[in-house]
Amino acid sequence: MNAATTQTADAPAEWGPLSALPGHPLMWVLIASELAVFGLALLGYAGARAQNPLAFALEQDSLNRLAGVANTALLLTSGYFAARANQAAHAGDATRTRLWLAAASALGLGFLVVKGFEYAGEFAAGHDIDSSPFFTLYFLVTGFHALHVVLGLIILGIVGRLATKTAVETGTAFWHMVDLIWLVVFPVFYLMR
Amino acid sequence: MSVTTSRLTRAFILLITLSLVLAVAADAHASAFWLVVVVLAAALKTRIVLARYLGLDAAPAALTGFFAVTFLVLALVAGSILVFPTPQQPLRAENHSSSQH
Repeated sequence: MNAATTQTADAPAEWGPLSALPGHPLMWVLIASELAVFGLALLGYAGARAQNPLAFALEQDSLNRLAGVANTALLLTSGYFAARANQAAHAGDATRTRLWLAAASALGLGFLVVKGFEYAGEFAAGHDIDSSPFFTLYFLVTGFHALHVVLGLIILGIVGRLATKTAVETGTAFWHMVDLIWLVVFPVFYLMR
Repeated sequence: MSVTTSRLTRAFILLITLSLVLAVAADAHASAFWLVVVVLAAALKTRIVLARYLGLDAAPAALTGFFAVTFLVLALVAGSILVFPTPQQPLRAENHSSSQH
């Protein structure tokens, strides 16, 4: 994919270096700002953990790691399907584009279902957003991420309806950003100790 | 299968493999070695998503910039864990001890 094929139809030169990126340049502004927000939240987590590493380690161990691994697989596979949808859109195959996007969305829904079960397990164990600094950050960050998954599903639905090259590139870029953020959030909350 | 699809599929298989490595690392005893393994595997995954899924291999400067941000976050969190490691004594013993004073 070269810069010429990824430029948007509306005055691409006006976007400077962003014109070389796939999809609408404004989506990349959104992606950069979302990465900054989540990055700062995770650095906040590191700061809070430094105050009480032992409590954070014990509460981290109580998380459902299997659900986290399952959700990682679901999002990565969903991202693969979204990338295939992007390829189909570039090939001008609207039917195949919509099929891949539907498959990506189904796995995105699967992510939310697993997350729902995970939250239910935490609530049943007496953990909620007020129970400790660890769980405040856990519910805030993963909940905010889950909201992005919901928004991403809506966006995939909209671009699936349009099924144009630029629309699908832009929508799937948002979906991959959701995937990317999870790849950083998951190890920080579930694995790094 | 086209060359692009083949590259995408290889990237997907690598991502799933790295996720399994991370899952195994998570079950291992917490140590600086496994922390580094987790950070490197997670960083590699973010780079693959940026390059292949998001298509930033066509925009190397953007790829470097976005990857640097994600790696920096992972490295800073890992660094803070190394600087403030988890104490080895169980929490209950600590609470019991403090309640007796």
